[in-house]
Amino acid sequence: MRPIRIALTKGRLEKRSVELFESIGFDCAQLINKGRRLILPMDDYQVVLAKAADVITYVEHGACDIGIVGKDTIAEAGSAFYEMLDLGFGKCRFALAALKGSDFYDGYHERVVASKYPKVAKQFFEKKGMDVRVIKIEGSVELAPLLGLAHAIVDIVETGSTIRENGLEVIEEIMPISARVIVNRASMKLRREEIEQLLKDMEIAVQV
Amino acid sequence: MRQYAKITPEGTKDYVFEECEARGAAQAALTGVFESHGYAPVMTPYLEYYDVFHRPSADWLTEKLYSVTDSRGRLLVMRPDNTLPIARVASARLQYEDMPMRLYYHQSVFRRSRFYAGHSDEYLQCGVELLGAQGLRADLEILQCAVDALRACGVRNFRVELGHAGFFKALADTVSMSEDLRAELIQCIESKNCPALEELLCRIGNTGETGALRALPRLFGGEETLKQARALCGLPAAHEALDSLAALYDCLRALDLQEHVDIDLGLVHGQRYYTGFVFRGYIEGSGISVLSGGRYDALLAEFGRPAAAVGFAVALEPLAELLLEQGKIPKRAPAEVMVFGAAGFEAAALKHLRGLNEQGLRCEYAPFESLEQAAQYAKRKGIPRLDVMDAHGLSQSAV
Repeated sequence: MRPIRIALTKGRLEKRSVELFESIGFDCAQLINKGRRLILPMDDYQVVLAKAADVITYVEHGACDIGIVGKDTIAEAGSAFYEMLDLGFGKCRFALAALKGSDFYDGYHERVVASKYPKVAKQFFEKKGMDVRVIKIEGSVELAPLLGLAHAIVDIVETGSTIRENGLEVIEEIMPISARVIVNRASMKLRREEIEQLLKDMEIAVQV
Repeated sequence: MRQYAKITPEGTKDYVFEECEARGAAQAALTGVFESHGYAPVMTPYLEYYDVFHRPSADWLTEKLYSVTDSRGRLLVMRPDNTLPIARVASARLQYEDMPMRLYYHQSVFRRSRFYAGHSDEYLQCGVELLGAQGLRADLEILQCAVDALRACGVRNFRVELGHAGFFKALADTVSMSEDLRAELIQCIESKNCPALEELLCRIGNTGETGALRALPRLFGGEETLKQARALCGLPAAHEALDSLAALYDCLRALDLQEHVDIDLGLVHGQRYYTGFVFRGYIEGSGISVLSGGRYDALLAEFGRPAAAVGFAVALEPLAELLLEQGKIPKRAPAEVMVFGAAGFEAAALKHLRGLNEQGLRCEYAPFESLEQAAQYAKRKGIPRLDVMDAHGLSQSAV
């Protein structure tokens, strides 16, 4: 049988994920000096580094058994896998923000919301039973209300300083975000003992 | 539309040569199993009225369906599920048939999937429904039939997880909540998302059996899982569900299947029509489940013919792929003989070919004008023998 494969999200969550594995006692030397290789050995495991949305895709198809990915990506792209652990790091939140002093909910005019996460934005307003035009923006979403394209934005907020610096303010919290461990459903059943042990190790390591 | 003329729609594909043969072989193996268990074939239309799938016990979101309207504007859908159309047939055209009724099918289902996620929108399900049969015997037979189906397709390493819709229902019914919250609850449990479940149960409030609900995502493993669950709640309906699973598990042990079977009480099927035990099966090499089924005792009543029912379906694609990987589907061999008729001897050559066919030989009739062309083609294709019918009669040569 092939080694258990773990997909890690590149960037923001990468360092903390590697620290987590180090604290469990895994040999992460190859993860730190990865060079150009894409599949990296870590003890008896194989580790791949991928963009957040791809971590979900690899795990969903069973190409990787386990993934570490932010709740933001799961909310936007996620579907069929087990979401088994909240690792507690990479904390931030989804929030609705508008120009300071503007009243987003006032009146009956059509509201336009810009977001890198159109599904999250749409669902948030669907739950309220509100018709909102959502526009997908790929880069700095704060720009959209400043340029008059949108009345508000739905975006990840960490400290809130970017929002404030651009003359916006958070008007509503949507969802807390942190790094999660996801597991392919078939892998969970076919290789239960190995995966449960790894999950247990990770759970203990984040609690310390 | 010209730009789409050469491609198949998103989520669908063409099957050629040994891919077709692998599917055919898997289907034949499954038909053999279903027939040997006494099941009879049914076929339902690809298109059904939307009403078949739009009911309290089934939860098909319109965005998941391929739909069209008929000539009178009524909404039709490409079937996203096989159990509902079969429940419809059993209650309509087969309403006077004796129960228990055993039906099997090989039918594609159509579901819209996420864009560019690499999922299929059309896939072939092969399954059985045992209608009008209640209790342990029927449940057991269905499980054995499902295992036989996997094994018939050459699967050795597989796992089946067993759950019970009644266990979740007993717990959830003690908590008053809206349909939306219930759907969210099912989603949390199905994805084993403990933090979200925790948060949701706090929102609902600590009334009812929330302690046991909280534990559901982690209630999976071997037989001991049933004991853990028993200790968690005292509801008679929940214990009844656990008792029936325990009885089933005992029989599975007697059938030497225990090493393939796990209990997962967090298996709360998204399909709302399930009322009793539910199961899914997994094989190595497929990241998604290949087997899914369970008991649905309330569904047929919705179609006007109250009867207990249980069934399962396997996904054909991963099984056909497995046959290919295992090398069980031989590469297609060329024809054994090419038959060429010279000008004026076309009919005589064809007559000769039919004679060869009757001897069991696979032959290609050369559609070429010249013998030379026929010989070249036979050589390219690896056809070993060339029979020629001309003024000298029949001559046979090796290519």
